[in-house]
Amino acid sequence: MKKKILIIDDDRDFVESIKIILEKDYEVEVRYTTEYLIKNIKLINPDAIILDVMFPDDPDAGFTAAQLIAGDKETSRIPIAILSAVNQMSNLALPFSNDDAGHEFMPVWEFVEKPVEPKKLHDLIKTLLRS
Amino acid sequence: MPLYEIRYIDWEKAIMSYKFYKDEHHHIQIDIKQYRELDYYLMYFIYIRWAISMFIVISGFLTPFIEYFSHIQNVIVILIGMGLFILNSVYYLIKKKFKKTLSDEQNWKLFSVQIFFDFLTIFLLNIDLVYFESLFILFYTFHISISTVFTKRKISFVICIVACIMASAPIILVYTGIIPYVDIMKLSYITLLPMIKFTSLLVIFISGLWVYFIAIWFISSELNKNINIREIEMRVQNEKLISIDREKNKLTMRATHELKAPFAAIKSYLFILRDGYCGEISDKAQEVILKMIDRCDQLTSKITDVIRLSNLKTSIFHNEDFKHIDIVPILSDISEELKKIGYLRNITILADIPVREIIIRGNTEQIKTLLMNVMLNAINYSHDNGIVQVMIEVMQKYIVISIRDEGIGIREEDLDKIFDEYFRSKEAVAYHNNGSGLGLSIVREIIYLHGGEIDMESTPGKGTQFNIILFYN
Repeated sequence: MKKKILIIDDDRDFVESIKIILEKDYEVEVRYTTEYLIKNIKLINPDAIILDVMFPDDPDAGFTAAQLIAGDKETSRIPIAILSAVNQMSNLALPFSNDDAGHEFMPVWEFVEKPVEPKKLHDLIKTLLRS
Repeated sequence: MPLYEIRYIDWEKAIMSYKFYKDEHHHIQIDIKQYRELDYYLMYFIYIRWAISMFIVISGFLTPFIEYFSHIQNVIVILIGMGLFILNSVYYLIKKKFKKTLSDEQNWKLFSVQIFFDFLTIFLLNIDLVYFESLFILFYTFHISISTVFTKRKISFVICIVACIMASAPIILVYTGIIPYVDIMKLSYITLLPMIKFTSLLVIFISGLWVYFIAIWFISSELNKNINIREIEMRVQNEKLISIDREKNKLTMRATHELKAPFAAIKSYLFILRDGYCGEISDKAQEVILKMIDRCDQLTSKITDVIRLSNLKTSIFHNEDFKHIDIVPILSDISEELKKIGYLRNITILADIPVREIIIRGNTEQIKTLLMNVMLNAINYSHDNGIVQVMIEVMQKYIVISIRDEGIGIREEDLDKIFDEYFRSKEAVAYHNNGSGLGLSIVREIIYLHGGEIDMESTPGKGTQFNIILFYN
């Protein structure tokens, strides 16, 4: 049975391109907003989540979503990767990171800048699914 | 109707007035006025001086009628009083005539002249009255205090020294016998007006002391209150600036996202085509797709550079933006990353980086950008099969990061332009077409923000070395 990947991103073109890359090896579900986030995640029950950061109504929606997912008992086990057009690494401290520079703690496993090469995307998903 | 008003003296010795009031929508507004009120205080002193000069003149006329003041040369007292009156009138006329044209510097110079003649008046009165144990010394301290507020430090110090000399002179003159000594305490019971007992010298002296100390307290506390208000105001303004800066940074990030996101989608689709996700494509089509990917990269890189440079030039950096960071892993990571790029043209990166920690004070992301830009330049303008060397030299107060390439070099006439925005030499454009011309401008801004320095040596055709100096603190 194929593993299920949930992509949450408002950019429909980008989501479509990612879907094309992944759908051969994975079952891909898509949401374009973070509305009813936890409800949707529980419904879909993905094995990994790819999350954008900036949404039209909230520039930090992705960070907020990651914290909500990590805060819920049922969804906290799901690994999250953030994909963003803006390199916001300096604002994050990833779990299991040795970064003690006082960055804001963010419960995501990987942070990748868009666009991402197909091979790198596949490697990213494998890393998420192994964790 | 104002809710309340704050007035204070600012650095330029002007008075700021902030009136807080409610507009017709019941929103609190601030009406800010800045006007020069140094004039107000200086005019105030002129009025006081007139009063004192009249008092001296009248005293001069009265002293012959008081037995125990018979030694006083009342003509001199009257002349001193009238001299002070005339001088004061001259100040007044100058202030009135040149009120709008006198600069702050001219104003305080005029004020310093007034103080000097005040000192001369006090000195002459002290000598004439031959009471060196008098309250006149207090007038010197009063003037010294005022001069510290209204004049520059050096000038107020000179005024202080002049006061010391003029206050000490009567004592020396009495000691050397040039002027006679009169014990003031023996005269303290004398009443100036026999019918009114409380007009004894003792009472007058004590009253004078009280008036003087209260006046000093009043002026000092007024000034102190103004300074406190100003400090609060500066803190509020500073917080406002920080908040505006944070808002600006958010907007910048938003703008970057809005500009780069479409290219991210385009490139993603191009990857799909390139990698055959939509079926096999011809070699020609592959070539075209690769060029399109390349142009997307150039565009996004330029967008990033423009926004980054704009942000650097307009940002307000605070102490908390700079932390103690270890430069060694940063340099190592960048070297490793760029080795992959250098590999495509067989360019070797030799990084002579120590194993131990080297801690400097800086902003991590900016330092990464700085080093990446300089090292990427070294690779881009290196000849194929060349070597790029990276070295760190540790000095007592700073470190020097040197990046040397064996590339096209820079002509001498271009050396002082390479940090200019959008400048690219003809050789650079011919050799590597894709640069934005902003990389070294960004490097310069980052170094400026970190209080560092950068210099370079270059020989056309042979290579360039950049030396980046960063301080520990």
